[in-house]
Amino acid sequence: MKESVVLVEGVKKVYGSGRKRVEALRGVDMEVKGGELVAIMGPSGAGKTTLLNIISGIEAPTEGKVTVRGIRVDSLNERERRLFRRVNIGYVFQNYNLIPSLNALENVLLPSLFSEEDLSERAMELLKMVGLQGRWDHLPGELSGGERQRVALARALLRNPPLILADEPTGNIDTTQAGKLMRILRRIAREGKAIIVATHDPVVASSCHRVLRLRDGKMGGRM
Amino acid sequence: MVEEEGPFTPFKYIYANILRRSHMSVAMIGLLTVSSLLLLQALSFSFEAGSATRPESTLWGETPVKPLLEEMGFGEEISSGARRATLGVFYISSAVSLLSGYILLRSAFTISMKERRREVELLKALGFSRGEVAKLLVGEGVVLALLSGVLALFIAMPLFVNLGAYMISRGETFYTSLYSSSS
Repeated sequence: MKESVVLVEGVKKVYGSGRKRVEALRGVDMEVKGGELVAIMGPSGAGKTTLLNIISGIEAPTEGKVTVRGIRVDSLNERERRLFRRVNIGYVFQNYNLIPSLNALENVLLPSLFSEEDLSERAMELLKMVGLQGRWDHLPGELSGGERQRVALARALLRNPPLILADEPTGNIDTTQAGKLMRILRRIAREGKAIIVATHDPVVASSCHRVLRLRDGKMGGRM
Repeated sequence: MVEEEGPFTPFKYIYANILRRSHMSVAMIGLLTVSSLLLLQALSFSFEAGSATRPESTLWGETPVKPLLEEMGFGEEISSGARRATLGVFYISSAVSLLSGYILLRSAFTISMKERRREVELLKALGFSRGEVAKLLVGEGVVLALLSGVLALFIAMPLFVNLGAYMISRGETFYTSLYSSSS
């Protein structure tokens, strides 16, 4: 039996109060094991990003428990959450979030900025893995959307985190590039990482091992 | 194959940012230089204002300004009316320069910070502390400010010493008329 990487139990998230009260998540339960590639599917506003932010410790839940590799993320303070994120989470954003003045290699190396460790060898290996070894010195402006997203994925993998969270990673790229990215994600999952992809694209979801449906802040069955 | 040897340090990050965002860097250096110039002007005005009453204690020491001021009669015996008028002009110019410098500096930093907000958010999401993010931004600001400061000083030195002296020599009639009418 594979080890559980993410365990979410009864997570609720409420924004605002009184008339402006919005329940983004109304009691979400889910589990993701190592080696699994799981899609969270739902229309925009369903709470996908909120759920990813809570799992990664960017936001705290109003209620419920979040456990990542045995660490209770919801009970950490801000500093602990930050350190937890550094070690355990690789985040891929919809809009790539690369720094325009840094080349592909430097963008991949960004998470190692304040550490003494020289990870350039590993960064080059990761660029090779995502098929961009020949483009390491290109600036994000010189890369296509799909290539930028693969650089962002390599950056997420730099510190070898056990959990990768991807928020609409294919939202801004064409289907060929999306297919390429999903193939890479499947390969990474095979190596034992847990991957959660938030998406509203059924094609992307169909290439994941398991699909969880999120609607109006609740999990609505599996596929 | 890889040009960058060793770990990716904050210094490399700042260097890449300044070098590759050259249009922004040049704009920032330009704005900072102009503001530094204005601040230097304000400073030199207030020193010159001081020297109107105490010509022996000028900022520039043995520059053409001092003997010129002495020749023009800005010594202890200068009339209080003329002194007040001269000081007034100096102080108003200083205030205007200081204000313009402040507005320019503020707008330079606001423009730059608006453009960088996403970058700051990303660094925080990657797990960097506020202190680490601040180190990067302040480090870049310090490098740009130093470059601009040195540039401004090189422009300002000859400008204020020679142009200042020239302007004062041209303004002789104005000051002497003030001096003679009020005494």
